[in-house]
Amino acid sequence: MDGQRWRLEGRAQLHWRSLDDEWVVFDACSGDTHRLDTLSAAALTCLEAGPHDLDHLTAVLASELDLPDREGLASRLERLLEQLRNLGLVEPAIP
Amino acid sequence: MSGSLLLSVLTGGDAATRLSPRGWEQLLREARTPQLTARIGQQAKDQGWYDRVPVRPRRHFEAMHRACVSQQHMVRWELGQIERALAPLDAPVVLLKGAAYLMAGLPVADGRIFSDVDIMVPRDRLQQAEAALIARGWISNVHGYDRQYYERWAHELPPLQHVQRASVIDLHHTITPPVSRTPVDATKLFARARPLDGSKFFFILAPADMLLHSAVHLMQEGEFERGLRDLVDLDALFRDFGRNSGFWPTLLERASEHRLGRPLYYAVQQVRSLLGTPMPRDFLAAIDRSRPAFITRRAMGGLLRTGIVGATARGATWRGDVARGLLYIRGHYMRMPLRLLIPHLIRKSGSHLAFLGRGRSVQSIPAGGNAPGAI
Amino acid sequence: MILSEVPETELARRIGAEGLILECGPFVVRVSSPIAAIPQGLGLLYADYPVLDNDAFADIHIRLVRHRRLGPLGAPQVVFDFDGERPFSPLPLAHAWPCFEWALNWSIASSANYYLVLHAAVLERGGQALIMPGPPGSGKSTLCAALTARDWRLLSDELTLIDMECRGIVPVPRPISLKNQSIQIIRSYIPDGVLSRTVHYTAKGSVAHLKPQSSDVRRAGDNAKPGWIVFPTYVAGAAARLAPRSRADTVLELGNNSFNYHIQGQLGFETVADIVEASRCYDLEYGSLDDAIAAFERVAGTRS
Repeated sequence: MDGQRWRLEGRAQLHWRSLDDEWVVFDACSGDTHRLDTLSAAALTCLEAGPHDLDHLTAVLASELDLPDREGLASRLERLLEQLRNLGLVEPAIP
Repeated sequence: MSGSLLLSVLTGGDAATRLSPRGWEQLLREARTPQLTARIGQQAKDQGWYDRVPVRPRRHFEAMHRACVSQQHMVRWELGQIERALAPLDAPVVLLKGAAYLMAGLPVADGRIFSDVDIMVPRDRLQQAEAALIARGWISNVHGYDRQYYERWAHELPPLQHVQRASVIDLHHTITPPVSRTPVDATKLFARARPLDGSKFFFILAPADMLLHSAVHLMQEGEFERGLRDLVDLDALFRDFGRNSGFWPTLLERASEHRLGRPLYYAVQQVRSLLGTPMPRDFLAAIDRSRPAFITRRAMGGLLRTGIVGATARGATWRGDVARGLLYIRGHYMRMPLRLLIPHLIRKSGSHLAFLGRGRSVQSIPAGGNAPGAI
Repeated sequence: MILSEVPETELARRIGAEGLILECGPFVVRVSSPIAAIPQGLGLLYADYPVLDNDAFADIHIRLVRHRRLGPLGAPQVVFDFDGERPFSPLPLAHAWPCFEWALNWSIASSANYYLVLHAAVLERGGQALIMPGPPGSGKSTLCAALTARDWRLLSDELTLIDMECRGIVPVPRPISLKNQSIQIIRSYIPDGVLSRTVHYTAKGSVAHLKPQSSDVRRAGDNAKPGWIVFPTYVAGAAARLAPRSRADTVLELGNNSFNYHIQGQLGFETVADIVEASRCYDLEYGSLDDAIAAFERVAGTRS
């Protein structure tokens, strides 16, 4: 996973709705609907804007969401990326 | 036959707007079995009379239109998944029927409902293609005897159904069974297949081959419940491709080359007689030379017309049912030599077609779930 | 004209011949059957429904015919005939009335793709809808019936229809289906309620239908706005407990509890999100009907 860059799945067309402190997202391409907590939503939004590797993503989110525990965050994001990949929302970005 | 309102609306422009409320009800009921509701709605939009459809019937058209659009989305998405699965194959993958019509943007795709996704690969890559799809989650539901039938005699493998999504792929290696009376040499089909616009991966058949496939399918697959829908497809293909005057002589050439003159003859006869498809006179004269002996032609013509229209009339008529039974056997007859046909009919158990359009999975991170299918 | 204004003999004649046409919420239903239980059931439970002329357009045609099982037993049966197809197996003739109601449920669910259809009960107060999703066994039919006797207007006990153009909840009031113990519970709870004769030994056990209130049928043309979404769970002996539920989770639950969410695409998604956004969402655990009704009064006191 070192240096591996991730991005939003190539064909995804996401439509976002925020509800209280969570998000629901509809992917018009696959027809799937997802529910995301704040961290997942922020991560996906980041990747929607452009490809990131895990380190960069951790740094951006730690700063945006004001989260001090970088290590804990990084390991959480690593698991999250795996989940998002299984859901077909993100894919490895081939340079 | 004279009671078929559906046919008169398909051929009659905006005459539908003069229907009584009961007439609209009858029309919708006739359109249901051949799955032509969305097609009529599309026709109304194309011909400019959709806003004159009364409110209640219009809701039915709107509902079917939405179902159609969502299916089209699903097919596009499935094709993306199929492309990923088959990209390592390094062999041409040709889209057939509905998937081809949709991706090529042909008018025949408007308002058309899908069942499976049909694709064709060279015969020597068939097992490999199947393995690649299975690795990505499609499974074959058919085992034992039926699978033997498919592998030895048919032009397609048993349908592959995806474990999660219920989408079904029919994997073909040609467009008619190799042991049928009218086997088609697939190398010719591949030689003339063209890349699909906007795709770096898929191909589609040349127009004449595409139309011949539709004609063959109508006459030989045995799915006569969908007969009128297949004729509507054929009519649309003829009208679209036929705008190019070079198409007609090419069609005759290909039909002759593939030895599909007779299926084309029957298809032309039916589509002209039921839907009035316009065709050039010299084409019609030439196709007439493929007609069978006088008696066969009369019997076939009568059978086909009753079978196809019988499916749409309100409630199945006895005569319609009998005609369809006979046609179904004929379909099989064309596909397999007689000595093999009877044992097969006795042992075969039902077909395995599933409809696209089962629920897409609605997921929450970390848990997942499935929406109940309704369409 | 409403059905109760049609003379009984004329009712039976029409149903036995060309069929009788009723308005049922946004749907027009043609009913035909030679079986006596059908005009009887309609006369009892659908008395307030508008009847249309025979040349009206019908969205749905319910035809119940007699069927006789082959063989020495040869028991008389009823079957739902849908343009020559039979979506359900034949049932004993004594089950003709529940058969009608199930056939109509199926037909509405199949014909309603113009709407977003949720598998949920829905009632109204003050112009606002109370949507109660719930799998069979959550007790939502019993709750629904009880609520209709406590100043909540019935929109549907089973199928919540949402108009995706205007985001309104569309009534389709029908007799409420009650099973097993619920039947006696509701008989006690609503002493002047009109119930069909209980039919025993159906696939769902004993079944009876509660006639909807006349005023609820008369107001079938009045849509409701989103108000509350409550997920009920029956737990024997539990005190009533109302807890807020995540809206994001509610969106997914409604999608999963819908008959046709998956064909409505982005429009369906935006519609569900809008409905949920405009609603207060709760989980309700309850052990007694009275407690649950009181909890709903508390809910109704909150504004969206």
